[in-house]
Amino acid sequence: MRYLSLFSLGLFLLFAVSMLIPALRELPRALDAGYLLGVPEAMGRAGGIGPMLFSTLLINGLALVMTVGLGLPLALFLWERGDRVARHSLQRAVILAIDLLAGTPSIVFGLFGSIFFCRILGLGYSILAGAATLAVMTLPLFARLALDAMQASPAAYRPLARSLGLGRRTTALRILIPSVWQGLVAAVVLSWARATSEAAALLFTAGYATRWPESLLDSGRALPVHIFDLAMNVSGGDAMAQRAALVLLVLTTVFVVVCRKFMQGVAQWQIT
Amino acid sequence: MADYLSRLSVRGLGVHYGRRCAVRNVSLEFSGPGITALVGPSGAGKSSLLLACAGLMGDVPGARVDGEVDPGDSGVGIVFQQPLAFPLSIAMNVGLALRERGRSATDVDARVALALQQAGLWTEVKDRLRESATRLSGGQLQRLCIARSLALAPSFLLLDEPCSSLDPMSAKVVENTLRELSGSIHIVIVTHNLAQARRLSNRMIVLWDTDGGGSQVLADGPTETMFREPPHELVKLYLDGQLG
Repeated sequence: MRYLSLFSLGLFLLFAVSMLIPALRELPRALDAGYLLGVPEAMGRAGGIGPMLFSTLLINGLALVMTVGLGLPLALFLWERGDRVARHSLQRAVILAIDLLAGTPSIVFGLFGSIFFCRILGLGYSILAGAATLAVMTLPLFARLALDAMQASPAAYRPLARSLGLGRRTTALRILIPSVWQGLVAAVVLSWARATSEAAALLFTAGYATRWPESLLDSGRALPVHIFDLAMNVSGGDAMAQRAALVLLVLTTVFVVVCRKFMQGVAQWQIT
Repeated sequence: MADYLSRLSVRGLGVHYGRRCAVRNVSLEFSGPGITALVGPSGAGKSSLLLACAGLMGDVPGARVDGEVDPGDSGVGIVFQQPLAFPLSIAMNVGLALRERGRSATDVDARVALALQQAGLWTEVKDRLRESATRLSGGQLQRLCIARSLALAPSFLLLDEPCSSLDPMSAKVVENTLRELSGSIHIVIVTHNLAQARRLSNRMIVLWDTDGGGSQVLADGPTETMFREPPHELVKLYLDGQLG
């Protein structure tokens, strides 16, 4: 077992090193302000990634707000029913649907988003359509992880809160969420990571434009789509693709650190 | 406060888990200050009866309650076996329910202090009310749970084996606290510790399932009388430690 673990670790390190070393060569240029804020030139072989970075932050930020805004109440709804969830066919169906959707390939969500958000709702290829598609894609994952975190909290919280006459909102906001904040951070981070790594879903929904988006209904090219384009469609675009990938990695790392610090601060404030 | 006008009435109470009847046709009345010990063998339905009196059986999966529990205008507090603090400060743990009811900050602070004094915890925590309650020891935590219920000024306090997870010294402190509280409220304590029941209570109720159809009240009377002159052979064997 030990040798198997060491072998797995070795494979992972080999993979990580082989990916990171070429990318790390680009690190100084990746964090250059001119690159981060500039516009692409020569189909992305030169210039910067300003519009793409901005579109990524817009799309993923909106998607996260929608995911947490819908996923947290859903997880709370299922947690409040406690063990009775297993007995009610509606709640069982909801959990089954969540688990099935969490395993659905992202390109399927992209096709769904293209038909529903872009065409039926008339959003066209837009930041908003991309964000909504990502939200639909990450909602099952977030809701499931959040519910798992809540179910790991002491089961006695519910009867205890009821015995004191505490309302559902107080129980959720003052007792449950502070007690499972680390699990919720993990749910947010993993949902963000899934959304940030998405190219397939955004190809069909957010569009391909390399200009600065002027509104949420404007098309915007997210970084994963830009990386895909540079690597697959632009000859000599590999180095710029690696540089953009590094920026994406740094973005995710910064998000994780900020998210943890924020939730830690909220949990501390909640204590008093 | 539990004066003689405060009354907790239980009429024809039954508790069922699926097809199994845990408690059947229990009728009891609690009033005035004092301590009642609810005893009986394991699985006799003591905790179920307590939860039903507190109106919390709805949280138990598969449970169904018949009959009636009438607390009148009296408040009923409950303390569970495993002490559990909310992830909040000591003061907020005790005062959260008061804030929920819209009490002013000044009123909440005063009642939190009073509840902690009544629970015998004030001198140990008065300088660290804003610290997390999860840092308290087991005995302190159980007294915090008692204070949390007392903050709502109940007339009746139900405790489900409050000392079973505590070391002997902490258990003794909790017992002393309950003894002092019994001068102003009525306490119902579920316990497997017959010595504790004899030490603390002035009334004892024995719950027993004699025919497999669900537990009923086998005996109900003054504690000392129960030990000196058990009213039933099963009670005698149980109090002698030969059964249950």
